This record gives sequence, C-alpha cells and structure tokens, in this order.
Amino acid sequence: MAPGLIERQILRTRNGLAYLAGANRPDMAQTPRDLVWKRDKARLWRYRSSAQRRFRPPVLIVHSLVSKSYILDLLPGTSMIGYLTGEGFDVFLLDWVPPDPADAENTLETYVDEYIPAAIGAVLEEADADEVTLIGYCFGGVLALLEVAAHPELPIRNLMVMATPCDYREMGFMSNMFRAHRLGPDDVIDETGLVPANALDEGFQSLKPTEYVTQRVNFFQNLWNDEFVEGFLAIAFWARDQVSFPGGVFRQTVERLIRQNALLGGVIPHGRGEVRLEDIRCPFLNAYAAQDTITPAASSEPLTRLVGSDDVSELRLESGHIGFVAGRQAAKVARPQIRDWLATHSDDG
Amino acid sequence: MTPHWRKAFDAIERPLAAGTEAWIQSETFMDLATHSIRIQRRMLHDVQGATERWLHLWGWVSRGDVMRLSNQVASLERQVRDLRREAEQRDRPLLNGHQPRTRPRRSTTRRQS
Repeated sequence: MAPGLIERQILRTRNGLAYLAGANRPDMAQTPRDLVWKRDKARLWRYRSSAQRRFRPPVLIVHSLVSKSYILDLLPGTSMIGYLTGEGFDVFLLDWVPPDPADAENTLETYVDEYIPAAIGAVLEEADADEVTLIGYCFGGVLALLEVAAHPELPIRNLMVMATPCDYREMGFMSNMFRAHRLGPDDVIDETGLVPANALDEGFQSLKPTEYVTQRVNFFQNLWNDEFVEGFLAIAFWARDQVSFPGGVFRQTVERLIRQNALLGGVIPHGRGEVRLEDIRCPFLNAYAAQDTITPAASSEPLTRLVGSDDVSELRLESGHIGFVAGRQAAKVARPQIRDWLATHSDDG
Repeated sequence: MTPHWRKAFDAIERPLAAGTEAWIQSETFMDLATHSIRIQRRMLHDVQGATERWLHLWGWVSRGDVMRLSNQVASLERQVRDLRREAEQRDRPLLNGHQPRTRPRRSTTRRQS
C-alpha cells in the first residue's frame, strides 16, 4: 500500500537529507566474479552463479568503450548479469579499464583483431567450450558486429547487440557536428591523445538538454520511494561516470562510422581491407529501445536487415538506453525475451 | 495521481524541450557551438602556454612538462606492447593472433545509405 501524504513527506525529508549528505549511494556491481584473463586494459570476468550452468555455449558480453560496465550489473535484483547467471547461463564480461595515454593510439582493429579474439580464446579455455554466444552493448555492439564480420573463423554461435548504433545520421547533435565537418576529431582529442570523459558527457547531455532538470524533478517527486531513489541514484551515478575514449578509435569512428556512415552501407573499412555485415551468418538478435536518446531506435533499426544471417530477430523495447539492463521494463519485458532468445539458441543441459 | 505542480512543470517543460532540441539542431546553434568549442580550446591553450612560461621562469615544473613525460612513457609502453604482440604471434600464431578475413577494399560500396 502506498504511504499517506504525511508519511511521504517524512520519507522525502529523510531520503533528501541522506542524498544531500551523500549517504545513500547504492551498492552497485555486487554479482561475485573472478578475473580469468587480462591484457593491457582488457579484463575478462567470469561471473559466479549459485544456479547450475545449464546452457551452452557460454555468453561473452563485450562492453562499450564509452561507459563503465557496472550498468550491466547495476543493483542486486535488477542486474542483467545476475539475471542471466541465475537463469543458468555461463556469463563472461569483457571489460575495459579506462584508457590512459598508452591506449591513445588504439584503433578498432586493436579491439577486433587482438583483444576480442584473445578473450574468446580465453573463454573457450576457461569454460571448456567449443563456441561462444557474443553480446555487444552500445558501442560494444559495434565491436561485436565487426568481430563476427571480420573473423568468420572464430567459433561464435550467436550474436546479439543491444542499443547499438548503425545509422549515424540519427545519432543527434554531436554526430551531426562531425558529419558536417564543423568539428574534427582533433577539436576534442586532448594532449594525451584521448577524448576526455567530460567531453563525452557533455555530448550525451546535449542530446536532451532539458533532461537533467526533468530527471531532478522526477527524483524530487519520487523522493519518498526508497526503491526509486536507489535505482535513480545508481543510474544517475553511472550516467555521469563516463570514461575517456581512445583517440585512435575516435578518429576512425568519425571518419568511418559518422562521415562515411559505413555501418549503414554494410561495408566497413577494416585494416587494409573491408568487412561486410552480410558476412554475419550466425543467428542474430538486434535489441533496441524506442525511447533511447543516446542510440535512437532509428539508428539501430537498420542492422536487422543488413546482416546476412537467415536467423534474424528484433526486440524493440519501449524504454530508454538502459531499459535493457535496469528498471521495470528490463525486468518485465527485456530480460525474459533476451533469456528466451538465448535459451532457444543454446544447448540445454 | 499526478500532483498539480507536476502538471504545471510538464506543461512548461514539454514545449520548452521540443523547442530546445529543435534549436540545438539548427545551423545557427551548430555555428555557435563550433566557434565556442574552438575559442574555448584556444583560450585554454594560450592560458596553459602563458602559465608554463611563467613557471619555467622560476624553474618550476608545469602541467605541460608532466604531460610530455607521461606521453613519452605511454609511447614506450606502446612499443613494449608491439614487441610482445610480435613475439606472441611468432610463438602462437593460431591462438591469439587471428588474422581478419577482410576483403580488398572496393572503390564503391554495394549498399548505399
């Protein structure tokens, strides 16, 4: 039963004071895990599970380069990774320690031809498996797409991308600034060779300039609700906790993905040649969110028809960018559907 | 039930958000943003340069010195990585050194946006 008016005011005051004192920061990324492989800034984590690991092959999640991975394991009870491990999947996460100047010259090829294949090798060894299911979140989805297209020899049984950009004309203000050559990569890359985290944060905020105020108003309105406050603070903390982006990858992103819009063309320059999305032949799920302001649905949608697989599915979620991994939509709609797709494309037992 | 203050906020915020988002996509705003970013960057560069010269007059270390040193260390780290990569590919070419099966680049793409 919802609390009465006076009780709400008391709860609102209590939570407001705790917020001002910084005392109610939620405990995030609580699912136990083990580091099983590392190279440079790449880290491969395997999540422990109290449930039996009944599904094969293991699932390897490739995280984005522009944010921190704890969004996938945000809070106990709303954790995407916790859910999948609980459902019997053997979950690995390929995460990236925030880059420093040594990583400034990393390119897409560094990740696609070096780190991810090596991580897949480590997953196979660790899980004693012959194949993996690859999942990419946000920009990690771009890496996963390139991985499967560039490396058909790798034993990737299924590919799923979540909130992954494809048509960069739909990516909003900052993308348009680069596409129209108003800005060049060197306008935002700093003297360390990285795109600073605050530049990315400002770029994301510019997509919905009034959202900051609206979110604060939502927060105040629901300040009495402990569950809302915990979720809100976790998401707000994550949203501002951006990481620097390697300048080498950023230059390629601007040139290949934004200006050439190569993903939409289906042919992406890679190394000394090119890769084609039509070469992605494994079962494919394109999951995107209708109210996503960071990767708008219009940007993700075309992927469904660009891959060459005969087994292509699409999951359109009525939520925002993090609706796959946190919030009520994630719990009620996204996660069960993702689980069903993964289970259908895995061996049980 | 939605409180009155929230209804009033939404009545103002929604058209304001729509207007702001449209304004942000306009040529005028993009021009302003471009100039603003470039001026900000140039001013920061000038201020850092002046501060650095002043600190050097007193024989002190500046942020630029630390940055240059940090970039040199980073460059060394990259060289070590390259050497390690070469050594690994020579020793275990099939395990971690998967070569991409890229196609030669064409002059035009088959699927146009």
